[in-house]
Amino acid sequence: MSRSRINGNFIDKTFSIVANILLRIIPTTSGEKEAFTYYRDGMSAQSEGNYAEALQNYYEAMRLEIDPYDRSYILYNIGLIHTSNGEHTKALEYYFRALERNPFLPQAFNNMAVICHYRGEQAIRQGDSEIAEAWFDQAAEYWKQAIALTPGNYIEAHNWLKITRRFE
Amino acid sequence: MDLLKLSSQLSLPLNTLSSSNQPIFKLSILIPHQNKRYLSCKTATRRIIGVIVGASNEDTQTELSVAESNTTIDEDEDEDEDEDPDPQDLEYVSEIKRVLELLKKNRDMLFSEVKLTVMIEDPREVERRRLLGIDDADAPTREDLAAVLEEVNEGKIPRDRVALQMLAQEMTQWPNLEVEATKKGPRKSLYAKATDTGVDPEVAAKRLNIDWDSAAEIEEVDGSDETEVPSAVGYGALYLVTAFPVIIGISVVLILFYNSLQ
Repeated sequence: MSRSRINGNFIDKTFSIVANILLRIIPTTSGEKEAFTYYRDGMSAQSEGNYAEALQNYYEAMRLEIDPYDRSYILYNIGLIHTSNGEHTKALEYYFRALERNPFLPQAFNNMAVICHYRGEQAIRQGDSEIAEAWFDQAAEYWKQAIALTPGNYIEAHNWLKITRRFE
Repeated sequence: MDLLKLSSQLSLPLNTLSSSNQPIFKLSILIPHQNKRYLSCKTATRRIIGVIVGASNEDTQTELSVAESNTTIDEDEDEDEDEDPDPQDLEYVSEIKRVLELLKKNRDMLFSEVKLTVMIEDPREVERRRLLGIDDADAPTREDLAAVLEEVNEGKIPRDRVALQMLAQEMTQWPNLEVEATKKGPRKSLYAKATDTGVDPEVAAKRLNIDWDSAAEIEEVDGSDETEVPSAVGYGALYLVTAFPVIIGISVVLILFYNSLQ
């Protein structure tokens, strides 16, 4: 059952069923519509913290979605889930592939930068200053990309770049 | 996502290679229209230190096993020569390759995207199933399937036959393989409208003086949306249907009241 039918009271469910019936009557490209429906349900589950269900929906959406640009948003959201789960390596992979298809995702750049910065701090705590510098340099690159897309955002990152003299 | 807040919340083991004689691999990926390197790692000649960004542990280990020593590869080749590939396995491999080609041709879906799709799984859900005893411990995991896919893509015959079979079944059931993605030109992206990515892509493209060719244009919403039913059509019809009994009831009451007056 689609997620739109699960939430809400009986009247909302009834409306949703009739709306879906009408959707079927009106001609649409069914594959794309289905992919987006899964994506929408996935986002709904993700917003409620039900990551397992969200990932299942995103999986179906990835299999159905034909357009590579639209797939970038699915990959981006999967990256967000893995970030929330603490699966940083996976998150970086998904963000990276999303950015391959759609470079206009400043939040993806920011999230990657945050992960890199966190790992740099871990390296410092472990005494590996060279590794830490490498992580910080990578974080700086990502933050520069994010700031280039949204100059008014990421003020703290902007200040960090200036303080660490990584801002060109 | 604030960097200071994130740093205090996360507690993950560091995923780097230490200076313990492990080879480092340089990853650099070019973004087509920006032509910049998004990933890079440093290498030091004397003290081998490296940072791998964007690769899982499994990928790292896979790369290490592939490139570490020739003797390992030779040993694998010797073992492969001893066992002739099963015809069924060859069929599975050819099926998987066929699907990969179709995905690339019809949807411009790169191997990395396919692999990430196969890998989609919630690790907490896996752990929960394991603790509850629902999951079969011997069943291949999603990462096993991804590893098998990697091997198939490299032209190898995977050893894990169960995973290979599972992967082949999953890939052959991939929906709408023959449907080609049509280049629609300027169009509306439902995903872009539904997702908050922190920026309006059109504004960002203008700011960066980048041609908008590489991304879908987001036009202003027209009066009619082909893929959505106007709310008046969907809910209005149901309101009308629901209103009939109410109208009938009110009519009955009014008629009875009128008759009572007479």
